[in-house]
Amino acid sequence: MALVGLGVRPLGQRVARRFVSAGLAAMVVGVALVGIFEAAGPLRLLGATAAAIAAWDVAEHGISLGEQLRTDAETRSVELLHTGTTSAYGAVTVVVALVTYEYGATGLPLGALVLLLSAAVTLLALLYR
Amino acid sequence: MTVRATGRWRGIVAVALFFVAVGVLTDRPATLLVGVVGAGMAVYPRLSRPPAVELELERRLGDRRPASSDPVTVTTRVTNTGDRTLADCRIVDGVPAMLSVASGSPRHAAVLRPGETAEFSYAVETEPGRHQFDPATVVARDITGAHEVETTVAAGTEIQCADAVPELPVREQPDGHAGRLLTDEGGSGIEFHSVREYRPGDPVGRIDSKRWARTGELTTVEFREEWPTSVCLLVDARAPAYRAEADGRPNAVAHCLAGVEQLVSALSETRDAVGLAAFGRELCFRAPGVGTDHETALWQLLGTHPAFDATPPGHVRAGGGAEETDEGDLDRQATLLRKQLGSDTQVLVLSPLADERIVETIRTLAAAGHTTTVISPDVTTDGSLGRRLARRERRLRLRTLRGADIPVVDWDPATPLGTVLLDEGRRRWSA
Repeated sequence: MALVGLGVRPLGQRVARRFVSAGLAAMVVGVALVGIFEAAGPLRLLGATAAAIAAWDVAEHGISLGEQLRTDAETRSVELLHTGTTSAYGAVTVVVALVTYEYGATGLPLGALVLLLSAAVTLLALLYR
Repeated sequence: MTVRATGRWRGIVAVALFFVAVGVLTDRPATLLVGVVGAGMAVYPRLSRPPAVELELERRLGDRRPASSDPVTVTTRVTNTGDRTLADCRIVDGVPAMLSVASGSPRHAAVLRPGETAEFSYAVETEPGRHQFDPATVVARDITGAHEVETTVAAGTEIQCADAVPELPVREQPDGHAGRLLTDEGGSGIEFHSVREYRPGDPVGRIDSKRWARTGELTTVEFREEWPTSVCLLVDARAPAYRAEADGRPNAVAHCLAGVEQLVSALSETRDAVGLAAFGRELCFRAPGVGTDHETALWQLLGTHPAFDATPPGHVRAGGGAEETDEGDLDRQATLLRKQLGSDTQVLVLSPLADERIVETIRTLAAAGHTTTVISPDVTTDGSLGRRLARRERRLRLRTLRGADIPVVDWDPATPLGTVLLDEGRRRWSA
């Protein structure tokens, strides 16, 4: 599934953005399938999702740079900083989620429920801003 | 300065919701947990604010007055004068519309800490004439890329390049579009015209004194009268006129504007009244006139009026609606212009003739009694079928105009306008 994301990204032109979105969707669905059928551990699922989103973000950022500055401009420092920040934030999110998951609650369903609630509240706040 | 949200993180909300839904439906806590990461990522763009952009720009030219056709190195330095780090600062330098980039890229992206300077350089091909750099466009995004601020940073830089051909005094083209109009009327002037019987009231200086001494007969010498013409330079700067040979090459309007600048400076040395008009974003009109004040006003108009902008107006899609309003707009502008033009004003149209409507407009102008001449920069190229078609269509338009007795100068922008006009003058305006 990661191949899907990797394989589509080098494609240029205007379709690139669509391909990158499709790659993210494919990876997300893949992670979900792995979570359902293989009952993989939370670390792997969280890590995979965060990495997928970070990869999507970097790809999209690269495309926007390409659109605005074309391909021959010097953009390395900006890309490195952006990639680094997104990855670091992703890692922090994963760690926070895991730590809360491990130590936050005794029963699994309850812990998941608390997190679900907080996540839902955040999402609602975002959606109805 | 415009601040806008890029909305690039919006889809992540869907990812978070997806995981939550899948986790709940399939009873997998680990999958449910992934929703937390999704939510965390969805919050990410909210953590940053749009950046405050305070920049200073400085350009250095390798050679401020280069000889023609030498590439000039331009070094642009952008300094962050604000007290915040700009994590993603994209700079597009305002290369003059007439100059094309020879090597390097006038675009740059950099991380700018307070006080830090980004430097990039590129080379531009020079063209004869004076070229002003446009303000550089800066797009600064915050670290998450959720907001971007677009602004411009100006630094008045100018390249002055010696003309390959000395600028022509336009009066060397006797019956051309812009020279002094020589009439067949006798009167006061320089060139001998005729001798006629003295009539009371004739100036004493014009009495042929030698003949009077010889025969005692009073005669008056007539000279060919010269009338100053009044010329209105009309630039076609509508959206369809912003065509270029290729990406990165100056577009037709930029060529037209360069031509207008040359003509204005050439005509201001004669006694001809020069006016300025443009079709485009809005109608621009300045009635023909003479004098230093008028000339200054013309230059100011050329530099500042929105219709004389060498960058194309925002994306004009070939959608039906936009086209129609454009058509109505041209007709309205042409009618307005005809109302304001004096009836004896010549019109010199500079247009790439990129569509049929301008041809119609020019023919209407000519039919309304204005002596009309067209200078048309040729920006069509060979290559694909579409390009060849465009070239053929333009040729047909030239032929239509010439068929309607309107002289058309087919100007290949690679040669200076002065040379082209001189050649045309020699061929007596192929009509």
